[in-house]
Amino acid sequence: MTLLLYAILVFFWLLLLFYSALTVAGLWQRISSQAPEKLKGDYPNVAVLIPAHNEGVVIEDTLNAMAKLRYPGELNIYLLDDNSKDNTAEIAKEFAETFSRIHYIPVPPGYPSGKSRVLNYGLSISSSKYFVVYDADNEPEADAVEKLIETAEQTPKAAGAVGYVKTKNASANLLTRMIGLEFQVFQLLMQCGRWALFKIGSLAGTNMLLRRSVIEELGGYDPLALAEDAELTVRLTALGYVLPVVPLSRTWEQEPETMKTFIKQRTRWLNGNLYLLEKSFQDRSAWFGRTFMLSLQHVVTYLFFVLLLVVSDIFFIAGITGIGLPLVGAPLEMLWFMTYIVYVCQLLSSLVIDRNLTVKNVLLVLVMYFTYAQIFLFLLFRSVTMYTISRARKKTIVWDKTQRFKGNVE
Amino acid sequence: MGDNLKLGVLLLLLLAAGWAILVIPLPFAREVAFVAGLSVLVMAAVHERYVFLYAMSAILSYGAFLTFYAFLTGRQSVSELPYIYSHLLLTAFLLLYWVLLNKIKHIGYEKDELKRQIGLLQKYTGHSELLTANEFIEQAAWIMKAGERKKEQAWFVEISLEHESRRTRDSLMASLERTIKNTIRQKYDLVTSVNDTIYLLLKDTDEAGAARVVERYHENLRTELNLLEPPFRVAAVQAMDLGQLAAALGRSS
Repeated sequence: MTLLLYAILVFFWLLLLFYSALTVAGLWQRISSQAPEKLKGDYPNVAVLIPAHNEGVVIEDTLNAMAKLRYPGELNIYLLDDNSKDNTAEIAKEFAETFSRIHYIPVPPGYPSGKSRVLNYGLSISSSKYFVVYDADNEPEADAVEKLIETAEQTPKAAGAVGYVKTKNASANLLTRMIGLEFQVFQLLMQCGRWALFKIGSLAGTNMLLRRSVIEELGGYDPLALAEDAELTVRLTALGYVLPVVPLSRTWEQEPETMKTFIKQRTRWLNGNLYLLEKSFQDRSAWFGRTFMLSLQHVVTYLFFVLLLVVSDIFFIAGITGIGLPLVGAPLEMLWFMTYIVYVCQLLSSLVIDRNLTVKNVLLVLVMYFTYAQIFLFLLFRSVTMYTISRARKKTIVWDKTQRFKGNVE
Repeated sequence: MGDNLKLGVLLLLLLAAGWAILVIPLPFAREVAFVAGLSVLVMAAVHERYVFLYAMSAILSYGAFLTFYAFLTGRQSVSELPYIYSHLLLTAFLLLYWVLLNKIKHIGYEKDELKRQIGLLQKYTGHSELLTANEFIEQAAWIMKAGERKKEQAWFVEISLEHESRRTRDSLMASLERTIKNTIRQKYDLVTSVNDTIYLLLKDTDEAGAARVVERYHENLRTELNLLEPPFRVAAVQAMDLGQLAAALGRSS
C-alpha cells in the first residue's frame, strides 16, 4: 500500500512538473514571439473551408468576419453546407451573390456523417496550395490567415500552421468563463509550450492551415475520426512534418453556454480521442520519434490525469473530514495542497499573459479545481461507457453537432 | 461593480488577511508577517511585469518550504492542516495585493490613454482659444494641399518670446497670445502656441502680406505693453511643406 501511494505521488508530481514546464515554456514563447515577417514574393493561393450544418444562428456573423479577411494573395471562401435544414443556405447564398470570393457549396448526403467527410468534399471541389479550416461559429481577425501563411512559408518542414482560438462569449455565464480559462492555459499556453520545448504543434480543428500536398500525401481526413484534428496531427507528425504555433493569428469562437451542450461536445471530443488511443495502441509507429510525445500526451491526458484526479479527490476528502490518510512517511496533505497551488498558478499565469486579470476571473481560478475539473470525471466515465458499448455492438458513434448560441465578440 | 467599490473591497480584504496573519497563532506566523510586509514594499517597487513573477515565486517557495519541513520533522503523524492554513493566508494576502496593484495600475494606464485621446481631440488650448499643436498640424495639412492646387502661397511666422523677467513672463505670453488673435484674420489664418513661441500660418498671402501682419501685431501690442523694445523675435518664411511646420513645432507630420 505504502509503495503504491509513493508511486502515485511520484507520478502525480512528475506530471504536474511536466505541465508546469510546459506552462513556463508557453509563457516564454508568448512573451518572446514576434509577428512573422512579410513574404518577399507572391502570397500563395488559399481556400478557406467552413463546414456547416444548421448554423443559421451564427453564420451571418461568421461570413461577415470572413468577408473582412485581408490577404495579399488569392483567397476563396467555401461555405460547405452539410444538408442544413434551417436558413443557413439562404444566408450563405446572399453572401455568395454579393462577394466574388465567397462560395456556397451544398455537400451531397453521404456516410459517415461529420466534419471529416465534409472537409474531404471541400478539398475535392477546391484547388489551392493551402487550405484553412474554420468552424462555422468562428470570427477570425482580419489578418489571421495572412499570419498563418507567413509562418508556414518561413518554417522549414511545416505542414501548415495553427492559430490561437479565443472565446467570444466568455462573459455569457460562469461555464463559458471557465471554458475560456481552460482554453487559455491547457490548450493555448501549453500548445505554445509544446512548440517551444519539442517543436510539436497540434491542429486545433479551427484556425488551422495545411498544405494541400500534405493532406493528399496522408490520403485526406479519416471520416471515422470524431476528433479529426488530433488524428491528423498524429499522422502528419509521424511523417516528420511540423506545425508551428502562431499566437498572433486569432479567431473568436463560441463555447457551449449550457451544461447539456458542453457535456455533449466534450463527450464527442473524448470519444474521438479514445478512438485515437485505440488506433495508436494498434499502430507501433505511433510510439516512435516525435509522435511518441503526442501519443504519450493522449494517454496521460485522457487516462492517467483523470485517474489521478480521483486520487487527489480522495486525499482532499480524507484531509477535510479528518479521516486521516495512511502513515507513509510523507506529508500527503501538504503534497495534495501544493498540487492545487501549482494548478492555480498555471491558471493565473494565463490571466496575466492574455491580459484578462479581473477579480471575477481570479475567484473562478480558485474554485475551478473543485468545480470545473471534477466534471471531467463524469465525462470520462460517460465517454468510456459509450465507446465500449458502441465497440461491443460494432456500431460507429455518429457526429454530434454542437448547439450554437447567439453571441457577440467581447 | 464600480471601480471604486472593487478597490474598496480589495483593500478591506487585504487588511483582513494582514490582520489574520498577525493575530491567528499558526506555524511561522512571525516569518509570514515579515514576508508579507516585505512583499508589500517589493511588489510596489518592481516593474509591473515582475510583480506576478515575484508573487508566484513567494507562494511556491513558501509551499515547498512547508512541505519539506513537514517531511523532515515527521509532521505527517499529526495534522498538517495548520501548515495549509498558514500558506493559504500568505497566498490570499499576496494574491489580493497583486490584484489590487494591477487594478490601480490599470486605472493609471486608462487615465493616461484617455488624456492622450483628449489631447488628440482637443481643438483649442486652455483659455487662450489658440489651436492645439495637433489641430494646427491637421488644419495646416489641408491648407497646404489646397494652396498647392490653387498655386497660392502660405507664410509661416514664428514669434518667440525673449524676456528676462521670470515674474512677468507668463502674463506677457498671455498678452502676446491674446493680441495675436485680434491681429490675424479670424477663421482664416491658423495660430498655435508651444513653449513660449507663437506659430502662425497665414493663408493665401505673400512676403509683403506677412510683413503687414507683423507690423499690425507690433501696433496692437503698443496699447498693451510699456516696453520700448518688443520682447520677442519674429521669423517669417514661406511655408513649403508640412514637414517644415511639424519640425518647428516638434511634432511628426
